[in-house]
Amino acid sequence: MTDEPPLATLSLAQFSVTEIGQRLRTWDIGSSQQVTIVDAAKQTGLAVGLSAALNIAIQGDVGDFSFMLNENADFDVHGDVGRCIGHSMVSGYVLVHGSAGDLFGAYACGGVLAAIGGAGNRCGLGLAGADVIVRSDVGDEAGLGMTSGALVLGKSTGDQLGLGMTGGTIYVRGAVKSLADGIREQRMKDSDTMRLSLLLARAGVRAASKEFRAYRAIKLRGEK
Amino acid sequence: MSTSPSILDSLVIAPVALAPVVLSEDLALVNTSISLHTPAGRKLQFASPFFVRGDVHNKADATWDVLCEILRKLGIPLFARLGEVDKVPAASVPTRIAVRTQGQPLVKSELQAADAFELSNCDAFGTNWGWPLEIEGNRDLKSFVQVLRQASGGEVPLGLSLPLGATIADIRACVESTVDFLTLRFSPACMSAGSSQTASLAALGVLNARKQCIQLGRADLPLLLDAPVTEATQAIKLLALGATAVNVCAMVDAALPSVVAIASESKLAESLLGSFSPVVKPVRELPQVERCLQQVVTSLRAALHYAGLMDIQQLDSNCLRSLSLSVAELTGIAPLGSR
Repeated sequence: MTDEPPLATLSLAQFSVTEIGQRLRTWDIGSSQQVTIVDAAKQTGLAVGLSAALNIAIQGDVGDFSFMLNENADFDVHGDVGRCIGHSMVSGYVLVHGSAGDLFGAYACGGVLAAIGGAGNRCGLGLAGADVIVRSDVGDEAGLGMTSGALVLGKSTGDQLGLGMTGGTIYVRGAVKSLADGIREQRMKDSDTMRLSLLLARAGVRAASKEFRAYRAIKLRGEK
Repeated sequence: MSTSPSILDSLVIAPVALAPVVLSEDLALVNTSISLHTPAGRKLQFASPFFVRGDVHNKADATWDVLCEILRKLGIPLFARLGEVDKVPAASVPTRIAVRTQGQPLVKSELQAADAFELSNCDAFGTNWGWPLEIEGNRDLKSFVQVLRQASGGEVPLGLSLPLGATIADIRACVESTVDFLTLRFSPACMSAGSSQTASLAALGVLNARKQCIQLGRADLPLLLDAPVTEATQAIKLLALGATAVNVCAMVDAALPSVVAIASESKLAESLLGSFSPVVKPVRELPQVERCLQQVVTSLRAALHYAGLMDIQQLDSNCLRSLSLSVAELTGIAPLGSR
């Protein structure tokens, strides 16, 4: 007989987003680290500001601004997600089995966010250290204003890739509609290949890292 | 060069009726405290309706710890980042309002450790204003504020900042977003600080914002005015016009010892001595700053008493009279002698 921790289930048909958030923020890790949230129907602001190392599976579609300021918790979303998912996330892992809306992973400072489907416009806005992986197509202005971290795009991108980007790397496998000024394709180094392989494996995306191209902001003379 | 008078120059505090004379020490009985409330019922109280913004940090330099201690002693809150107060002894840290500027990640520790939190709609330099990209214009402002409130546990008063002279639509969007306070900020991009135009802009900005708050049923929404106010009387008139607290950085700046001279000496010393660090004499007290801030508070108490009030909550535009008919028409303040 195995000693698997008991599985806790919370229903969004029974509790409000605020109540579920409150429960998760004060969760007793000793009782269970596995939580399932069912009946999600695009409610805004689900599971924000968490600090506990929980594994949370979500059945249904998740609404805007969910998982904001997450620290340590891992999410497995069996559905689509709305706008601005994982805003300012500190650490943890978000895996979306469907598609993501605009601003996926905005200002995320740490952790990994992955979408198996596509993502909307401005994916990875102001990315500040986290890694964002999107297996399918993304919209315009991906990587807008990003300062560090990695944005991995498995298919094509829209206009103005890397607009206002000052740091970090964007890896693209498909076609790039247009690049923003100051962004250049650069040779994939061994460190890029290794990092990319790890990220793809983490997201469960089957692709060879050598199929990707790396894009970075050009550094002006004198810039470190 | 002559400068035209500001709207504030044309306004005076007027007594309701003569009250029995009080001894100067009794002025301390006049209540000047204000508070911010959250929907969860938390109350954050400031002893005085004034505040200081962390921009003064650079100028205060070696005197920063001492300045923080004075602010704490006088119950004056400070807008500052965690990094600006983390080296200040815990017993000297004043009530702190953290700020998230445009285009920056939210910092969880800031949100949780601060006494209040301001979402700024401008960049770190206070010049580039706009709605954050994540709220699609201002369409999602209310949702964003509500989610942020949840993430903070609902205990921290949340505010938004707008430029002085913001449109009615923008003020309404902020008021409707259910924030706990609103900051109206002077932007250096619009005019030079300290001019009479600045005072007029501040007066009209406060009047307009307060009017919108009243129309939207949030007459008591705290409005923090962040403009370069250089005189205590100006600050008091702005409080009467509808501001809940006023930035007194301009007054503190003037009372701080000149760091520019120290800096130039340091550079000279650096160039002469190469790798030797210059020794800057630590400042243990700032009597001028403390006196200046105490004078502002005393002036406020005296003005309240003169107007026949014992509590700052009673101070409103009815306590003002206009010296000019044009200003009376513009602001809706009754002309002097009309009562």
